[in-house]
Amino acid sequence: MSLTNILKAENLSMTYKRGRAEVVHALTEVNFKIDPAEMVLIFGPSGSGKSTLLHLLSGLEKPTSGSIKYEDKEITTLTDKELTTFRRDEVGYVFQSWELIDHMTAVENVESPMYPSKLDSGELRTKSLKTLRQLDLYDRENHFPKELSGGEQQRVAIARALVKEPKIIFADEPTGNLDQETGETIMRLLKKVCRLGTAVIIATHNEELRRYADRVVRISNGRLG
Amino acid sequence: MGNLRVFRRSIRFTTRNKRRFIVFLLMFGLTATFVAFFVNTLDSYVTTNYLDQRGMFLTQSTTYGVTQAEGNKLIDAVRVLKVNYSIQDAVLYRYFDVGNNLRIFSLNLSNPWLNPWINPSLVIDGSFPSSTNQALIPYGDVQVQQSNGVFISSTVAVGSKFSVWDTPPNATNAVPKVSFTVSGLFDGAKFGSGKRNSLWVFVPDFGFDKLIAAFGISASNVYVYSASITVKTQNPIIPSSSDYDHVADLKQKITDTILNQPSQFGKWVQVAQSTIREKKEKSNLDLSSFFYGLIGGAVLVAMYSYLLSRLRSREVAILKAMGYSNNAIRLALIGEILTTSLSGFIVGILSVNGILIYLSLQDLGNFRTSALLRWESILASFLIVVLFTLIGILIVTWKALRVSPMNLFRDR
Repeated sequence: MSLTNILKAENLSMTYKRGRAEVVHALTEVNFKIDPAEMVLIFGPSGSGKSTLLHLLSGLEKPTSGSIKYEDKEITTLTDKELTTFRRDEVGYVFQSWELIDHMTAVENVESPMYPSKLDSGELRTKSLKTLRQLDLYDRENHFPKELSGGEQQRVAIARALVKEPKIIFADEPTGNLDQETGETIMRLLKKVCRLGTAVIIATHNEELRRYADRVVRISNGRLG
Repeated sequence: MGNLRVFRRSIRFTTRNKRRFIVFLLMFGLTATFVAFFVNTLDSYVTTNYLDQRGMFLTQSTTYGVTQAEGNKLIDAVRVLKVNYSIQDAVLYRYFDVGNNLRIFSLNLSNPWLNPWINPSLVIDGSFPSSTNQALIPYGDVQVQQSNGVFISSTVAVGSKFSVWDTPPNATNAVPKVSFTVSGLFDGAKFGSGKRNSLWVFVPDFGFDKLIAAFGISASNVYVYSASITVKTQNPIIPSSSDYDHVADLKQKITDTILNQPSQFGKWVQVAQSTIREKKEKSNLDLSSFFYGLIGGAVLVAMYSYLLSRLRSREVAILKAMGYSNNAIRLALIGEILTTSLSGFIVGILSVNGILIYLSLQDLGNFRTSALLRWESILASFLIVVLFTLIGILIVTWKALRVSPMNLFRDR
């Protein structure tokens, strides 16, 4: 495996239809790359295309044109099944609104990405509890999302992304719904994960997060500046 | 192993949202109740079958008045019959005449449906008697004559009181011998035929001996018009086919030991059930009911599938984003749908059986061959519910799995 450019996108464009006639150019000719253990901040205002970029890079959507290479593999040409495997094995994703599953407890939410894996249930639980404890959630493991504060839910979402030890973590506005103190805790945590070797890509419109990033790229009207 | 765990967990998670689970459970329960109830109409219902399963009736020969003494002997003989089951009830239905214009009959109230000739369904106005001073009388074909020293007040409407005197009621110091309140009128044509010159009064058996004494009737002038004998079922609530075998055995033994000995027990004849009660048969295949069940089931399952696909779209999107394969997601949905539908099926089958047992306890004349759903009906209902469930699963998974996770998020 190459030590540089774990993920590299070239000439990435994305257009989609809104309604019957309107064509939206969400991304235009975007070039992007990230190295292992690097934290990159994609900075831009709402509607600038940063979330769309995250979706394309993480394999949640396919671009209209362009190339995305993960290590040496072109992911834009993968089948749905291969993309699913890519998301399962290589990617951790933290959604803007956390997207925890309401009827699962915190620990079940964390272990849920590994349910289809071959790990036995005991191993799976141990691993999930360990991750929750790393995020200071050791006493909240059996609480349902509605019983947790915003910051706790965000940490559970991060634990869910971390537990399978992905090579890249995508975080969409990870501090968007949090107070400043909780937001900083989350960023320190992501930085710590990054130092351990995971590439972290964060989409945000919060300028204060720049200090955590190794590199900041600006996006505006679907183009990287 | 992984997908099996997804399936197992989905079963557990199904019941987590209790309110939603209960709503869906009731929906499926209702579906299964519909289906099972209507599928059960494939069975044929015959009044007499059910009564045959529980007991037999004897009546005095038309040419011979069986006395109370002979009737008692019969009951004693029945109770000591060497049979490998228990006699539940052996009841005599007695009568005596007061002069020429009054005949008083006894009725068994412990199970009014066992009265051979008069059951609650024949009451056309008012109700079956429930206490000693109440009486049931025939409607329409009675001409009361006041003669031979017995005087009867002429008002015999439901709720009215009538009395019997042995002196004219307007005489000095006249005191009625007995008084009754008319609880109901029954269709007299069902009990014997033609107009009668005497008033027939049906009263509860538990006050009958006092009445005999009040009128000073000698025991030899008390007769028995019928007897009913029932077999205790193996299960007190649920009759089974082996009960029917017991009744067949009982009938054979009674014929051998009692009916063939008129010198001891009087002359009796066995009554065919169909001559007592109107034979109610349904066609073997009630297709319209069957299709109501199918349509009801289909509509409910379609609704459920639609609701589930909407309610679960967010979860499916999350699971897809996390890297669940379509098979894993399909298993999760199947686990949920199966849990709900099978729980609902059990609830539905129990409900239908509950209804049937209740009906059978309330009403022996209720024309069912069994108080329980037949196993064929349960199996057919199960297959129908499974069929609808599979259709539901196909709809849900087809909708959920063909779109990308981001489209599911956007739809939401």
